[in-house]
Amino acid sequence: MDTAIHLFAITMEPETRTLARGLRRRDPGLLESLIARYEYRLYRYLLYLTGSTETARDLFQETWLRVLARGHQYDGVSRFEPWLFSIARHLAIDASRRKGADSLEELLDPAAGGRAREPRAPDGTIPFNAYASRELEARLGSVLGRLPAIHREVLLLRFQEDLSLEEIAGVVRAPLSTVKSRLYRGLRAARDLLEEQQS
Amino acid sequence: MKNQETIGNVHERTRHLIDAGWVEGLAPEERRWLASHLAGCEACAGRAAATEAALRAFRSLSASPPPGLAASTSLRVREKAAELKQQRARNLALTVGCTLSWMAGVASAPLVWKLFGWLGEALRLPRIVWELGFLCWWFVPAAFAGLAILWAQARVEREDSNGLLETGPRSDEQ
Repeated sequence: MDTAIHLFAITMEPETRTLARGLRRRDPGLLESLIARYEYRLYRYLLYLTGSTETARDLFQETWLRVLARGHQYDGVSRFEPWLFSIARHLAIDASRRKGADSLEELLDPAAGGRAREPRAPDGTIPFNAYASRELEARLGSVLGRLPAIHREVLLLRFQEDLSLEEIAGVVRAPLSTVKSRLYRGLRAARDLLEEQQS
Repeated sequence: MKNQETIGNVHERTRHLIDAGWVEGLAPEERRWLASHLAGCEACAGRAAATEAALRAFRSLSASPPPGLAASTSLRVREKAAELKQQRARNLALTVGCTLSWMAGVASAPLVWKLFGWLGEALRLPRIVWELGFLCWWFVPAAFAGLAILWAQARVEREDSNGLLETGPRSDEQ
């Protein structure tokens, strides 16, 4: 297992280094290919994090502008995705902070203990449901919207984006033990809500 | 009564292990224990299956980016890149200008010193006055340039201190 991880790391290394060099040069061609490559994942992450198609779209663009401006800060050692998602998350919190009350920041604050408001698209539809086609997906989509944002975001990063626990800790800037406990609580809450819906 | 508690603990442990298997993985002996329990307990097996199904659905939750999102973002990025390039060229010109000016200042310092001395004598000023005048001529522009650089640096640091770009996890403090 360790050998496999090591081999994987060696194979990955040149790509991340090349990426870091390109980002330092602010190579627009490289940025364009990254935008195309991460369009779906980044947009999905932002959509499920903020619950708004409009906000997700704006933050998507802002994230790439920030990547362009701060590309020299990517170390080229760790994977690119956690770095990208941490920028996106930070911008989402910033945007909510600017909007004031009922903000994502509040939702991400465990002390606030708030539930995520039911996310809505500009046309009034609920994105989680609108994009979920099968029955379980639809139920899960609605459950996601009812989870506190601090639990929702770690579930998204772990089970949708396949980030490691350490990478998630880096993205949400929390200790590893906190990430684990949020994942356990989030998973339990999601399952309880699903069972509740089923019954 | 004690038996019921033990049975409850077994199911509680199973419940925890089902989640742990997804969150952080299980040790081989835990995996064996869980498998043997699930083989004989319908309720726990159902719970494990439900968790697996929910997480598979989670993975397949989809989103459709608005049409043209990548293209419009690429366009904005290209425009911004061009703007930053121009800005960098301006900064380079400024740096070169400052360096040349500083070199000229150093080279001309003996001449200016003499000039201040001559002016001081001509105007019958005390030596300390024209010496201070020379110091001002020498230090004030440099002090302004230094302050401007410090201000620019502080601005960049303030933007960075928002902290989004640290890639590693924080230490395990709680």
